[in-house]
Amino acid sequence: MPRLQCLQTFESLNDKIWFTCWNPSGTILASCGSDKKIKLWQRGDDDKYVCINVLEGSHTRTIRSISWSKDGKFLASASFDATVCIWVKRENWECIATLEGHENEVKSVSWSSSGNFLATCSRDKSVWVWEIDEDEAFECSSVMNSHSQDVKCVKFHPNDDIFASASYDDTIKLYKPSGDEWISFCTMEGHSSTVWCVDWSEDGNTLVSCGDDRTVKLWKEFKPSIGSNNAIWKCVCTLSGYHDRPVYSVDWCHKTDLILTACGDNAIRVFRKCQTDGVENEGGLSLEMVAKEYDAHKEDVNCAAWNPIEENILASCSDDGMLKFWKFIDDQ
Amino acid sequence: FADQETNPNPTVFQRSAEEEYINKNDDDEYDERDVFHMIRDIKDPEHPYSLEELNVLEKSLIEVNNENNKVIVQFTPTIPHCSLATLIGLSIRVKLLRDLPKRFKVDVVITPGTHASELAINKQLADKERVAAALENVHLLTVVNQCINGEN
Repeated sequence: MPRLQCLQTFESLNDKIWFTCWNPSGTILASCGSDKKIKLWQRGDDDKYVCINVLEGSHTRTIRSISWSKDGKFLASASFDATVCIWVKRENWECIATLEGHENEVKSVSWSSSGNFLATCSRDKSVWVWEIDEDEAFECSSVMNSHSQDVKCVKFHPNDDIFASASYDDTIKLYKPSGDEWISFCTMEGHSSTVWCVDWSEDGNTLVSCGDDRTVKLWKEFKPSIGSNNAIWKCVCTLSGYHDRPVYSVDWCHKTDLILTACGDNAIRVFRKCQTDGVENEGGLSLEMVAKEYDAHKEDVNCAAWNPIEENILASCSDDGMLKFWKFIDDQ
Repeated sequence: FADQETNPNPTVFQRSAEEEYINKNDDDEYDERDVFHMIRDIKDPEHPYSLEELNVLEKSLIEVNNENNKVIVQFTPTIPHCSLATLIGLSIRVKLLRDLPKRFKVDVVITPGTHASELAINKQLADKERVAAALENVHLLTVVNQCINGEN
C-alpha cells in the first residue's frame, strides 16, 4: 500500500503555522505563521532537516503566505499587516522592499515564471500585479476589483504570464496582460463556498482547486473555437466525500503528477489522476486517492507542499504549531 | 454594522441553577452541560445581561460528539436583524477556542431561521482565516474580551 512516512517533526509552541513551500531547486523549505517570522529549513550533513535562517522584524502581524521567485533568489511574504515584503539573500537574508497599497490583510502572493511580475490579493477584494524592473524596484501595474469578496489565493501559470485567483465569493478567475494593464478574462463557477487554494498542472492546461465545500475540482482548458478569442475552462471532475472539513491547500507535483491536499480534518491526502470514459465527463479526467494520513496533525492542516525536485518528499504545517517532513512511499 | 437594528428592549429570562462543574482534562468526555457552562455567562455587547439570560444560548441547542471530536453551538439572535450577531458569534467561538481541548472541531452557527443574514454570518464565523485576523485587531479583541469577561 502506498503510504506516508513521517521523517521529522518540529514544534513551535503556541504558534499557528499557516504556510510552507520549497524553493524551486528543492533545497530549502520556507514556513511562516502567527509568530510573524519566516523560517528556512535545509538538510544538514546528517541528512536531517534543520532551521538555517529566521527572517523577522518586518511584519507586524501573522505572515499568511510566501512565494519564491523562479530563480530562487527572492522571497515574497504576504501578511495580515496589509503589506508584502521582498526578501533577498546577500550576506544574510534582508528585506529590500515593503509593498504597500492593500487596505487590509494580504492573503497570498505569487511570482510569475518569467520573474517580471508579482501578484497579490487581499480581504479588500482586490488583486494587484506588481512589475519588477532591472533595479529590483517594484511598481504596481494593475489593481483589479473583479471579485466581490475576500480573495484567498493567487497562483501564476507554470510557463506563461497568466495567473489564477480564488475567492470567498466561491469563484476562480484567470488574468492576463492586455496592453499595459492586466485583465480578468475567465471566471470559473462551481464551488458552493469559499475557494481556498488553486494550483496548476505542469503543462498549465489544467487547474486544481479546493474549498470550504470540502471538494477538490479539476478544471480543464478547451481551446477557443474559430471566431472566438478566449479558451473556455470547464470543471471536468469534482471529488467529494473524501474530505471531512474544509480543504485549505492543494499542491500539484510537476514531476510525479500527484496531487496533495491539506484539510481541516487534520489529514493529508495524495491523489492520482486517472482517465475515465464517462460521457458526462468531457475532459475524461478523474482522481483516485492513493494515500491518506488521518492524524497527520493534531489540528487543522493549513498547507502541504511537494518538494519540486526530490520526488515524493513533502512538508506539512498546522494550527498545532508543527511543521512535518514526510516521504510518500509508492510501493503498489 | 451601521444600518442595522439593535434591540433596545430584549426579553430577559431567568438564569438556570448553577450545576456542579467538574474540572476536566483534555482527554475527558465533554457533554452539552460542560460546553454550556463555558459560554452561558458571555455578556451581550449592548445589554448588561448574559447570553443565557437573553435566551441567545440554550443547552438544548448545543451538540457534543466526543467520538468524532465535534461541537456544534447554535445561537439565537434576539431580533432577526440584530447587527451584533456576528460579534456575539465571534465571542462564543473565541471562548470555546480558549476553553475546549484542541481536539474538538467547533462550529458556531445561527439557529436556522432566526436571522435575516444567517448564511452570510455563518460563512464568516466558519472562516478561520478571518477569525484569526480579527483577533489580531486590538480594538475588536478588546470588545470580544469585554463580552467574554463581562467587563466594561
